[in-house]
Amino acid sequence: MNQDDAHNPHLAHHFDSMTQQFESSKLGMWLFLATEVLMFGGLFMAYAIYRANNPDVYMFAHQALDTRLGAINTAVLLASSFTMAWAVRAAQMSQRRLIMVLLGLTLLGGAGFMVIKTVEYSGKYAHHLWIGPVNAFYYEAGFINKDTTLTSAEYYVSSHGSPAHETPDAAHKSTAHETTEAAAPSEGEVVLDAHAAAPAPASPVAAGVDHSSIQLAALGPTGVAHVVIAEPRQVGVAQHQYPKFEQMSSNDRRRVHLFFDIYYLMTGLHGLHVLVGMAIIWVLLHKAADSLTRAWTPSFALLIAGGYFLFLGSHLGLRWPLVLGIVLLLIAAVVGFMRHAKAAADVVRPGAYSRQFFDPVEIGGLYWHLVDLIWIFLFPLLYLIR
Amino acid sequence: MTSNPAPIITDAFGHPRKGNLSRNYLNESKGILSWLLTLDHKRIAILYMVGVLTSFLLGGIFAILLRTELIAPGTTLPAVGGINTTSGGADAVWSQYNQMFTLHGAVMVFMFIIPAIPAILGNFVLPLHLGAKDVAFPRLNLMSWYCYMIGGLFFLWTLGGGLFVRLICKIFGLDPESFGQLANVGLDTGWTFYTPYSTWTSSSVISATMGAFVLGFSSILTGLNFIASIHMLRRPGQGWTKLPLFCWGIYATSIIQILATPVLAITLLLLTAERAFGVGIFDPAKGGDPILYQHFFWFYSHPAVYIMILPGFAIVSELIGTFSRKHIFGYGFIAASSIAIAILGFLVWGHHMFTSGQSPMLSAIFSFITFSIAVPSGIKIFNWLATMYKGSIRLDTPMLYALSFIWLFTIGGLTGVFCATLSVDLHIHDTYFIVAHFHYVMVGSTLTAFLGGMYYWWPKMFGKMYSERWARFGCLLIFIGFNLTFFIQFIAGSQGMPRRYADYPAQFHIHHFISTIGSYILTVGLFAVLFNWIHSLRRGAAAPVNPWGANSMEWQAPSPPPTANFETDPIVGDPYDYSHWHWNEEIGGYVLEEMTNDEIRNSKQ
Ligand SMILES: [Cu+2]
Repeated sequence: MNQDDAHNPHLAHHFDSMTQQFESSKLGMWLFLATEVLMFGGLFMAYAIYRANNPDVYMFAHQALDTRLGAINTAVLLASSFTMAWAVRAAQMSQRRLIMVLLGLTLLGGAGFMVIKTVEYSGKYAHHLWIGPVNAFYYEAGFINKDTTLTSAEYYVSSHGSPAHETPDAAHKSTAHETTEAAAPSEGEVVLDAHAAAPAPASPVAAGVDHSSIQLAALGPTGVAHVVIAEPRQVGVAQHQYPKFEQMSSNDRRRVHLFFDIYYLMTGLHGLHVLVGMAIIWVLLHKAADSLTRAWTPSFALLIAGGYFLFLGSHLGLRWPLVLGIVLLLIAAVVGFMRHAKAAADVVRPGAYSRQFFDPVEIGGLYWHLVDLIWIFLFPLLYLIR
Repeated sequence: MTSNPAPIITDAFGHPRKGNLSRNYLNESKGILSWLLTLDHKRIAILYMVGVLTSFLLGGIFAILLRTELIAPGTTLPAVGGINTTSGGADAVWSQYNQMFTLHGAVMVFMFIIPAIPAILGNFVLPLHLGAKDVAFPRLNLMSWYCYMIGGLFFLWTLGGGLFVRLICKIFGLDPESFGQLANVGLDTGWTFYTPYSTWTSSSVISATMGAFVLGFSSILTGLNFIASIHMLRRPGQGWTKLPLFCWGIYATSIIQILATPVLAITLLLLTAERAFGVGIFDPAKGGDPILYQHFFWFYSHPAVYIMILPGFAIVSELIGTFSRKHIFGYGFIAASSIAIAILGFLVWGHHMFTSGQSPMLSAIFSFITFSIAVPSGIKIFNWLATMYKGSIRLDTPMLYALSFIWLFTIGGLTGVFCATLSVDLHIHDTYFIVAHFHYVMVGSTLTAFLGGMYYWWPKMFGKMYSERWARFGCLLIFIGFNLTFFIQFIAGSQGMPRRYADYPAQFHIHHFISTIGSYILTVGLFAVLFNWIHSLRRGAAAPVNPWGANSMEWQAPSPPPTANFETDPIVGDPYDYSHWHWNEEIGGYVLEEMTNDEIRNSKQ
């Protein structure tokens, strides 16, 4: 056994040297990343098969996604990957203060990603483009002779032109539809903005009721439901190549909702991974901090959570997230000061990571890079379809 | 060996010595928490043993119930209340039967066969084979056991959670309907969870898929640990060619566990999303593709067949060499064939879908690759036979199981070639022929290898010998009972008896009758094994360090080993060189002949 290593308190009893321990944990993480890749591989496969079989569905439906927000999120994640990589470097160089700063920034990057994802999700929810039956394009063949029609989809298209963002700006990149603050809807949107004001209930049963309300809204003055096939509201250069709903085959029209299912499953699972990654980075930050700063790391986590709920409340115009957010911030302050007083009474001990021991930072970083990498694939596959 | 009054204390090489080793991993610390929070791979192996054997008992009860239902045409068992059916009478019995064969399959596959050998014997033996103190990640190892137990809880919920919810509803006068899928009872999809039925059925699918999902994590963590351990924790001087074949088998298994299980995980998540959120990816009514589900499912579940059988090969490779007292023949071929099977196993999943509406070209390719797996499997069989040829074979219990394994696996493997043949499969698909085939491979072979391995390492695990006579008797009963149960099913299947049917025409009565009687004999045999083990734990003679004269490193650790495994650094050598170990009647075990320092040094190279 290496004599230097023998005294290293971080060496577990069943390893002979720090190198062996480090290489083992790195190998373990790489193996775990392989399992993650295969797990997402299943979703990518489902994506590829449906896209190969129904290319028009993807061309049509992806217009609902906001490329600008997606791009911002890509940049945010890339930046956080950069700070993460830098944090590993800082750990290797024993720059203890820098590790904390960089890990904190990485954590904020993850939080920023989740905030933007929330903006996207809530916008789609408000526009009745949610998962499963809570989607204007939902279709399910009934048992014998009860073929559900695509009334709600047709109504949606008639009032929207397409699931794209209708604001007439040429690049059609406005986020007006992604945020409920878009207070001045253009004419055709009245019904759907009614949805925005009172989001549809999430349960499938209730969503069925909701459908009928759309159909009712579609009743013409004669009381007969009719399908209005509106002219697309503006024809941008880019929009020319996308198929229109009414031009698609009936098979394709019935599969539009599957695109949304795949979108939510892929980004949802990825979002869960971001959350897990944030938890890991927080633990790293906690360990990396010296005893005085460590007094504040729980508060930092509470601060992020509280800030998120404050944002959620103001974004959706709901009260309970606001209250929850304020409570979390108060707890953060109380916990922080209490822990600080305790830590200040003691000698200051340095953080755990240094040139001698930085394995967890490097291994946690690997995980964070994978989360980033998956998004790098998800973004073009979902948002940038041509 | 049964009568060994005063055990002689020996050192790691079987030589008598003074002083007793009073501390071992079993009595190192006491109390339930010292077990539940242990990081010791040996204790985790025992924890797994308790869980896995309990699951085996549960799956076995379902098996006996469904065989009893089938002993005669028409209904045999009464319908028990609480099953999801409104109509009583025969319908309730049939519905109950569907649940029994599903739960039998799901429990046996996910909770018994897949974890049995890697998680119990692999956990116990693998670090010892490497001369290591533990696996690479002891905490993950414990976590994998907790995943296993949580997965088990999900399965228990599938079994009775809905009944519990209904009971609560009855007490408080609530409507069970308002609890949605929480009030569903049992599982009737078959262990394969085929869509679209699994999307629609009113049994408790989500708890079962989530259970299998969590169990999958347990399997992944175990595999990850073993790969990292084999790469990083080998003793200095133990090159890849000095690994016992058990490690090679477990290594190949772990590759599959790591690469295939995540695909099952995502498949089951998607199925859960179908039921929980109304997603339609696998549901044809919503434009989804049920065949995609089958592709996903078998992309995992065919390799999973090798998760079950490769550890069996691994054990048998150890047993055949040791009990033939002869160096294993074709070490490189046996090791490489395990890896070849692991790789090829990923390319054959479509042979489960010959009748599902897959392109004929694809079917032909899958059929061909499936045939090619017979080559590495055959290589193993021939190498084992060549090892036994001109060996001085000892028919101790583990060897009896190994021989029984070769017999059963040959039948199971060769009938697999029938199933892989396109034209034949169209006839026998979904018949008892398939049932018989995979039971020969999964139960006949894997269970037999597992029991053989348990008997082989039992003295090391618990430091106790067992009654050889009763052990052989159990082995014989299991062999007879198994063949009686399943061989007749080949005949019934080839005559057209479909699988998963609760009732059948009178012409199949004799087949089912014989099969059910066989299953009872098999049960008696298994209980004989259980009592044999319990008897050994209570009053077995103390085990020597090396009862079988094997040369892999676990036999240089005390029986049972201390928490740190070895008292002195074990000698790394060729694991199949038995020439230095000699039987010593007085000690009741094998003793390493005195070696000069030069010899020790040579054996290390
Ligand atoms: Cu198969």
